[in-house]
Amino acid sequence: MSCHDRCHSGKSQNQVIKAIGFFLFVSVLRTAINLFHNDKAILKKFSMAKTKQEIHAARPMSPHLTIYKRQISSVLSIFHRLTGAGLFFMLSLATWWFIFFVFSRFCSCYLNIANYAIFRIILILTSFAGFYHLLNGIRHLFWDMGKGFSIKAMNQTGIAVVFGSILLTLLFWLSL
Amino acid sequence: MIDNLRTDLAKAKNLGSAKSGYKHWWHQRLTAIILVMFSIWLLFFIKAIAAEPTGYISIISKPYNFVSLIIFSVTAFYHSMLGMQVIIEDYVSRSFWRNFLIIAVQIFCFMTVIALIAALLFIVI
Repeated sequence: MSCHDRCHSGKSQNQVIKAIGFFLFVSVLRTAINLFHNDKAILKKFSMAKTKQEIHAARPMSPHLTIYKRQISSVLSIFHRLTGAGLFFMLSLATWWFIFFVFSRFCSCYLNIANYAIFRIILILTSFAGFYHLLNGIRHLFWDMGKGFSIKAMNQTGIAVVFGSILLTLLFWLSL
Repeated sequence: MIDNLRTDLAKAKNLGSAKSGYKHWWHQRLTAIILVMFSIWLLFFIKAIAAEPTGYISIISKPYNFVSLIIFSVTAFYHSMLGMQVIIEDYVSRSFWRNFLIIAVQIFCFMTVIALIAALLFIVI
């Protein structure tokens, strides 16, 4: 049995991967929107509440994430963790892909993933996460040396990290 | 009257309920510095692979690429193992699942690194 009998990429497989990609894209978008624009929804919930029980239900729950005022520092810190976990996931996935590719005697079916458009989107997101984690990690190392702790410096370096990682991602993909 | 219930051994080790000292924090920083340095190499490595995808074996077989790849992957997995431990400790409150997940991540990282090195040797030799 040759390699191509065992694994083939049919149309249905392509559609499933497209659907998963669309679901991922929508959920990322919804998370991003929720992260920055959920104050109005909570205020609306409060104004709609009439009975005592409804008011009690509408009250924000500890740890008060629903009414938490987002600063540059906290959002960047959350994203540092998020990108770290994501990079661990992608690193494991890429490593096991490579291991299976090698020990299948370089089966070309493992190279088929390059045909999917979602693959390139995931790669771009991963590279952005990598650049962001790298730059923010350098910021963390400077904090460990006791430098850049003033609020002004923290906000400036934070914005620099965000724009720097977008710029580096663009430069990297344009130079490939 | 006993005012401190800690044993003499616990006092000598001077470790709290975390059962480890500064090592975790310090290793995270050391691996971070190594990863910052090797990320520059990684960019050039990915560029070389992207420029000539069919010649990946000859690119990986180059000594500096081979050694750098092993150093980078081992360091990256160690760094992410420590990082995932912090994340799990923060968000998993049940002690059984917390310890289970931490040990699972550690075993997974060790297995992945060993399998990766075996695969790289398979290519090069």
